[in-house]
Amino acid sequence: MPLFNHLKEYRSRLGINQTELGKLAGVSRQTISLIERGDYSPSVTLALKLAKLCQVTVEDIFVYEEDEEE
Amino acid sequence: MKTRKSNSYMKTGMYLLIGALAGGVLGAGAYMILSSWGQGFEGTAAQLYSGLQASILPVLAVLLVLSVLAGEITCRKMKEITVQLPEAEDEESDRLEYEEEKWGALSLNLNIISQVLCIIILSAGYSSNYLDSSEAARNGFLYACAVFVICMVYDSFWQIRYVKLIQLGHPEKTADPSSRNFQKKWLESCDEAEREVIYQSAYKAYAMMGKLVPVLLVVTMLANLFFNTGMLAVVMVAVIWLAVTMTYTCSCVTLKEEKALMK
Repeated sequence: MPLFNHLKEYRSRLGINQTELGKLAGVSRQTISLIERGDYSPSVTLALKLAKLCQVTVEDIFVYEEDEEE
Repeated sequence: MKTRKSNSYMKTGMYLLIGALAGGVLGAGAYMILSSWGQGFEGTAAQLYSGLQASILPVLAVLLVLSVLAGEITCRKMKEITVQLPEAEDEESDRLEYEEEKWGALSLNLNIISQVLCIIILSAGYSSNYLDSSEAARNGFLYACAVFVICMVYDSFWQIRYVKLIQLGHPEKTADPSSRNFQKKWLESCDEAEREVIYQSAYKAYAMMGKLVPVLLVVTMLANLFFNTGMLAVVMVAVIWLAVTMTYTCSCVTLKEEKALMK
């Protein structure tokens, strides 16, 4: 899926690690790691939660880039 | 641009024809082999079976020792990993969690293999013909039952230890492994990414069952045809097939009903 994200940057700005962000968002550390690596696309609810925690909009964190063929 | 449509009926027809031909060749081959060496096969099978019946106790004892060894080694390894997890950095945690998953899967598989083998070995002596054959057979089987029970108790307790070890590294997972609602509570304690892995794996297991069960049905039918194993095995496999398919389809309908009609 052509979904990229800047979660790692925003998390670094908050000065917290994956475990702490996971706890705040109510998910496991592994899920945060998967999202940061682009291996998992979160649900809308989780994306909104993460954006709220990072004090930015969802579009700031998650970027949808359409395929060139589309 | 026109795309070439594949003819599903033709393809399926071809598969069925190939299957029928393969079945015919296999059946004819098996018939020829059995009519030539059938008595030899039956004699060898009977010898193997009686050999197995005579060695139920030592085989179960070896299985118990191997189960305990495998269980303790894997538990130790998992404990090492889970102890490191809370203190590990993000990148190190990724590696450790993968190791945890890998060792967990290996140890759980070994545990199930041990249980299945114990049941198969014990069932070799679980026949009135064998038990009525001699006093020694009855005594040996009694001791074998004791070893079997020890093995099962160890394996069951090991599963509780396994869950507790995972909970040590992941305190958010609070489901009680001795509870009847364990699976439900465990799933509830998983987050969305973990659930996706579970759902995908469950669907893969369902798809695998769909392929394996028909093969098992054919094998049990052929076994009944050539070795008179009885039709109970055929019925059992058929029941499993029905149960799995109906559980899946009923669950799909229920979920759709909840989401579409009830709102």
